[in-house]
Amino acid sequence: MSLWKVAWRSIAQRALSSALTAFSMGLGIALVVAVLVIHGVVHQSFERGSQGYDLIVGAKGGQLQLVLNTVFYLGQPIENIPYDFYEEFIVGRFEPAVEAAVPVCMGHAYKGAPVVATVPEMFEKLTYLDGREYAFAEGSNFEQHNFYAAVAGATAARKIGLKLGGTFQPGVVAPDGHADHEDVPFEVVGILEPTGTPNDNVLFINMEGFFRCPAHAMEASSAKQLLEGGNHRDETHEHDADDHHHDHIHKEVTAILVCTRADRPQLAMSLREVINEGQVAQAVQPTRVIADFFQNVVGNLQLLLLMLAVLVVVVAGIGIMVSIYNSMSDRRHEIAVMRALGAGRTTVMAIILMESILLSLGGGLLGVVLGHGLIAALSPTIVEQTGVMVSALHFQWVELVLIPGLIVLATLVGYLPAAAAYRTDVAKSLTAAQ
Amino acid sequence: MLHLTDVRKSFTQPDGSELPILDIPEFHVAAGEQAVLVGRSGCGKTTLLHVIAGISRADAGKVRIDDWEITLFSEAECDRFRAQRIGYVFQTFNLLSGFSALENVLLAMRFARGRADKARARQLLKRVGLEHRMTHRPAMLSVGEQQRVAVARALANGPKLLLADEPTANVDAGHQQQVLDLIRETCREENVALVLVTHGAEVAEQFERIDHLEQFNRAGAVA
Repeated sequence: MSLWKVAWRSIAQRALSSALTAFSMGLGIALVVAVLVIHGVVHQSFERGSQGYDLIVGAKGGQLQLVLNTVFYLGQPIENIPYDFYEEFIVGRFEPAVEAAVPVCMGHAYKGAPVVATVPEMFEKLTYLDGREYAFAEGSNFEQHNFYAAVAGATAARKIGLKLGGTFQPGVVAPDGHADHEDVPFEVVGILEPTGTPNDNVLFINMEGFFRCPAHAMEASSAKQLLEGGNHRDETHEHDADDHHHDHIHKEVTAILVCTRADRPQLAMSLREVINEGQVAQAVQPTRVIADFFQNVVGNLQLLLLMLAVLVVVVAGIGIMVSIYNSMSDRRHEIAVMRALGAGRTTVMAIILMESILLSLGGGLLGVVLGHGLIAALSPTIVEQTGVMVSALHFQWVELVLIPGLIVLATLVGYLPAAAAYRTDVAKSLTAAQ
Repeated sequence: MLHLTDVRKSFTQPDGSELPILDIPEFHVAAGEQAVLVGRSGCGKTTLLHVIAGISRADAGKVRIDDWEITLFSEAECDRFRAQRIGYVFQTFNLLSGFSALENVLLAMRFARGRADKARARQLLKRVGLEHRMTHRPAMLSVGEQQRVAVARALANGPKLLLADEPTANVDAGHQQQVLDLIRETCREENVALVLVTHGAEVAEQFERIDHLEQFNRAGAVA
């Protein structure tokens, strides 16, 4: 019979007290796990979301706002930039440094899902995560000449109930979050396979069709003014169903997702500098912006939460100490019997330490299950609110540190009652029981 | 096999003064011999057993068991020696309540040798008539059965000396003789020397060797 079994039996004898003590430890560990996993998953999701392109080019303003809005569809767009500027990446002066450039127009929504106007190259030239290509669960990508075609992200299609051939009318999102008016209907021609990125929650529509909707065009004269550095913008809009006329109307995009050429890194670096020195737009590296954001804001917040959670674990550890120590007066006789049977002082001390370790590890295991269960319960809300996918089965390697950490904590908090067991006067305790 | 020479033991009282409990010039028990120690309550019987078992340290004198002088042992050596060579049957049985009858016997083996011989533990429990009660915990056993488990546990490590402290005091009258017979018979079978303390004349008169503690304990105090 191992000493662990002896320790376990002592715990079982005080089942209620032991269960409550372990549960308090479990709650502390659950908090630690939740903080670690949510932070890890969010960090990873943020990093993943911006993979597939190097630069985001958008209106001048806050870099973080541009990244959060373009990659994660959070918050409002800063402003728009002229379509002509986008063309510089395709056929103009920026073209030598560019592998692919995909424009996006944002600020629309349908039944809570962001609607993004873009071009077919979005799913043909860009990738997600570690270079994975977009795949279609149903249908296919829209074609440029099919103006009112749309592609739905997996989650958006499921939540809204959009099927192939179904239509929807995106509306402009007002600052209060409501759609101001509805545009012309777009038909779903493809539904994406889940990607695990915020794109799963998005409805993508053909930019060509988007520009033909009312209120999305700007007079060419106003656009020229903007390109020439004028601040005044004429927001006169013009509806135009005629393709020929449409070519004369100025178009705007919210941002451009740029994949630079890997074989010409110097050009790519210069591209960013040139754009940022100009008056029209800014170019930001999303991975760097997100890394800064995490380091400066989320990292500190996480550290604070982690410290609080660790404090809860330490308090729970003290609870274990108090629980075992309080039981010592009842168990002094039992310990004396063990000693009389030949168990040495170190043996009884080890049994008490093992009790502490078992309670801590048991509570810790419960906490890991509770923590991941908590994440599973909150996952749908997080995805719905932020578009960030959080999986309950996502384990952080830091969680492995919990095991040796708990053993150290258990040894520390178990030391006091173990020392009391060590000091037990056998003869006195045996005589007192008679 | 057991030899005490000039053993003295006293306790410090709350006022700081020393209260002598034991002052035994000579006490001897031969291998396989069965001796009963009688004396009134508080005359030092339990203290003497504790000193012989190494549970309490003598203030002076020698306690020799076979070739070992346990008074020279460190505490850890004493623990080990006791576990391996001395069996102890307590007045209040002192079974560990969280463990079954079989586990109580196995634990004694575990503490003595670091491993447990399940076959021998089962055999001992069968010998004391508890083959059908091995998995029962103490609370589910009668008082007589609990003392029988205690006897099996005391014999678990094949001791050469069994110390029994008022083993029938807490057993009902109907089972007292049964328990006494069991202790004496198993000691005979295993050639174990027995020192049994009691204050009951009806128990003592069954032994051929009866020692009155007050007669050879010069301390004569009431402990």
